[in-house]
Amino acid sequence: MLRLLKKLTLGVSLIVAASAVLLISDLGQWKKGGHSVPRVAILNYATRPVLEDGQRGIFDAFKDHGFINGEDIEIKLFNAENDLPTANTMASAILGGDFDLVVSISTPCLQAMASANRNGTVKHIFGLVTDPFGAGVGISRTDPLDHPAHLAGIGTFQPVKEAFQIAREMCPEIRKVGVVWNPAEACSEACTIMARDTCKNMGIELLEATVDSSSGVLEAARALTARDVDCIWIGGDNTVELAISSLIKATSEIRVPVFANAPSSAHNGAIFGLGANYYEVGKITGDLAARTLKGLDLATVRIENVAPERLAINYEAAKGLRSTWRFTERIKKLAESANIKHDASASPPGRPGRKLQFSFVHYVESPTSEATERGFLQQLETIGLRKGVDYDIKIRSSQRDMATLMAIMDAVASEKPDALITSSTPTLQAALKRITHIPIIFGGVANPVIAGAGESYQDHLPNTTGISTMSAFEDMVTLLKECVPNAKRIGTLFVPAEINSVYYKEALEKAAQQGGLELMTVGVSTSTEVPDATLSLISKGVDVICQISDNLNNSAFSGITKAAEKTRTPLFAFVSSYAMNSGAAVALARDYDQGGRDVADLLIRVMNGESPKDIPFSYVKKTRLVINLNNAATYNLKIPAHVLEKADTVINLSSSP
Amino acid sequence: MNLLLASLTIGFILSLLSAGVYISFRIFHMPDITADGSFALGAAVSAVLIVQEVNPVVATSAGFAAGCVAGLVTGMLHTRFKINNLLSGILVMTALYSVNLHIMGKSNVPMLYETTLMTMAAKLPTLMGSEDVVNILGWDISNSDAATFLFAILMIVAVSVVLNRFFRTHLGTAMRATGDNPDMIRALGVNTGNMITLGLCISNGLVALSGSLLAQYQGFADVQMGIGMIVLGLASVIIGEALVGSAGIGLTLCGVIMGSLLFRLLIAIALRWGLNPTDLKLITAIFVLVALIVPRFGGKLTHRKQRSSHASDTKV
Repeated sequence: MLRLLKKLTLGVSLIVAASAVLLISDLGQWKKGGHSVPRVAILNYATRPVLEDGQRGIFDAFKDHGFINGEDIEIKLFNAENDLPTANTMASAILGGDFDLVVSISTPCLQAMASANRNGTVKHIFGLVTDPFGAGVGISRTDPLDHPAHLAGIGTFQPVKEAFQIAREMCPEIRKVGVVWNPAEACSEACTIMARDTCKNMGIELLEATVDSSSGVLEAARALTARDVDCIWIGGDNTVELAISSLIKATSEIRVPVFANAPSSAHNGAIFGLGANYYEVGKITGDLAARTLKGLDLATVRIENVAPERLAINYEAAKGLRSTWRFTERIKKLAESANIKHDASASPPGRPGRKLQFSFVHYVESPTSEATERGFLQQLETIGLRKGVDYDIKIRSSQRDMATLMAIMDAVASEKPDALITSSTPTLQAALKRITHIPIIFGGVANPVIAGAGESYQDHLPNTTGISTMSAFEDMVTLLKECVPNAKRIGTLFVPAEINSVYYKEALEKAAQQGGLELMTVGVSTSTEVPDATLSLISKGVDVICQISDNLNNSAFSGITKAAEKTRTPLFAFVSSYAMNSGAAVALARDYDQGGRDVADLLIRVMNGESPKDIPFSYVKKTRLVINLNNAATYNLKIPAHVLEKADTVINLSSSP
Repeated sequence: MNLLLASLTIGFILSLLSAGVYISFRIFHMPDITADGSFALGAAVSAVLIVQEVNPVVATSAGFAAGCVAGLVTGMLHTRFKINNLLSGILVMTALYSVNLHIMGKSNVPMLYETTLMTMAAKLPTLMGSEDVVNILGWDISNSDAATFLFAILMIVAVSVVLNRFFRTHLGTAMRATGDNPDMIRALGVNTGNMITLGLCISNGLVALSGSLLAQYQGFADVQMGIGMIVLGLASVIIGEALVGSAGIGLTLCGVIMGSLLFRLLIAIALRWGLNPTDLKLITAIFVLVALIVPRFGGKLTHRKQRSSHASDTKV
């Protein structure tokens, strides 16, 4: 028996010690007693863009009401990081933490908090919940005033009906709409149920396919396209949202569009995205919370559905569809200014007499190589070549395996297609080694000379030509000086192990010197180093970060963004999406989509009898300037009016109706 | 105090999960991933029944039974069809995700205002005439919190006593022997396949029971609540073993419960101290690490003491 007790001592004493620590930390709280400033807890479920938008809105609303965190109010943030038991523990921690008010973000947090707070110990405001009435926290669907007296907030149902109405307005003849959704997501389910009703009323047939993970989306979408849908709709579904590119891929095969209930989808290829503006939702929630602190009686608050709408449209996605989708004036007026401008670069059609065979090889499925492929196929279509009739194409990918890449090249060599198209530096290099008698047309290559395709852009291997996507460094330096006139030092991270990265760094250095700027650099080797490296770059006193494009920094760009935002150092980039979806204020991009189109133009020239030998390598025809005013505001950066005029895309989300 | 009580309650509830994982992982040396699915299964079955106003005791038992069935399927796949043990667990877990969705009909079933085992327990003190707030050592505690806490302890004590007894019966001994030395036990004429299947039944039943109780405690069942549970269970088992060292079944069960409690307490401390929410998982990992290292140091110390006393003995 004694031995038994001895064995248990360690565990028991550790538990007692831990409990004591907890109690003692509580004691400190207890003795402090009545606090002078109101204490507010914010309970968030996960670090996700949408939820963080809402959180930002809540903080801003407190600020608008004159509550400065740390002075007039004490705001404590809890984030359960996607873990339900943790959310429950946090809810209890909030109850015991002597808070005056708790604001919960998301449905699980509403449920966890409401469950812990059943007795109404603290006042509870909720927001960013799709359907609070269905959450089972005692809120009546029929009477907006019937809810627990300590609990109030707003529901935000996605504007599903409105999205379908816009779709109908753009293309009156839609009859069959497909949807891919994940039944495990409560919000998605609520949206789908809403859509069923809406479709019934509008005389549309809704075809559903369900998935349980992002990897199943492509197959599910193909199942829908096989049933000949007129378009595909995405509700508030995170799983499908993550895999939107596979959805777009499936729909582009039968030339139908995708529309969505999230504005960000329009940037990712959907024809339009109509969604709730979660920043605004957060602001409304925060406003309610602030008024509660000032003495508002929650029992008198009506719980209603509030969805400030935000519409983003994508002109590019409307092109080449099998039926016409028209942006009416009303829609254009509704939409925010994040429109992707119409791009009417037509090239001379040159249709050959017989069915051509092409081979297209990727090294790995990456956004840039996919963009090249997309642009390439689109341009062939614009020129009037029909897949399956005028040409056949075999698209292969080595999936980042050099050995496979070589095998693919051997297969191509034995198939003898009319032309081989490559979309990256490794594929070009492999092609150069294995293929001698087939024209090679490359895209997505930064510097073909370094890759070994020739001595110079004019003097190169006889069977090879293509498009270089080298960044426009001189233009960038000029632009940078226009936007930040007093800049002396600029900085970039680079990867010593990547040949293109080193090359880009040197090119930027040269351009900067010519423009009278000093370039500071920091080398990185893994993506985890990127945030620290950015901070150390900033500590070297750079006025602007002008990040070159390389594989590592492209995948860790958000790390750079965070550090730049923290220190308010303006961030410039060479990839358009970084200004659209990430934190860059200005992006000057040699677009990969456009690169793909240029490759198609070159291909037509070669197919019409020109020898690749006589076509010098060239840069991507069009350089896109994307400016994000929201990001610029974060860095306190004023973009001069004449620069704004030059921009192809200006993103300004706050000016939405 | 509220936080302490809540984390201890959750710790006790989740120690059922750890006990389940202990059976599959330590007794049968089988990493049974089914737990991720059966945890949510128990929650789903109980929640659906409770919403339909079935007696919560019946609903909870049904949750336990459903978990047993899940374990039975995994066991059959492994022993009858000779599917690799890891794979059979993966198969059942994957399938259970859809099954759970079917059972619940949607991803999240709330039961905040239904009668559950937990609300029943919470009401008891008031029925017995106690005040709403009781004062323990100067801390004000709502009587319902205290009651749910005591109820959770009772459940665990009852389950552990039953388990301890069971593993000392003939059947239980044969089961443990199956894990330790299958050849020997087969020579004694015991069907090891049956033993493994039965063991997995019990293991997953316990896991499902834990899920069912947690759902009733937190007031809702969610289809994703099982994800990552196996890891949590394993962590508790390993911490528990580190605490009590190699010992008999009863002692190890105690260790596993203590491991689960410690795990929740450490998370609560991290929360209470207001550590950066981004670092939560990291801190959890560090705590587990410390919990594993500290007993080893303790062990070394006692070892050395023994050795030195031994040395002095010889001198005399």
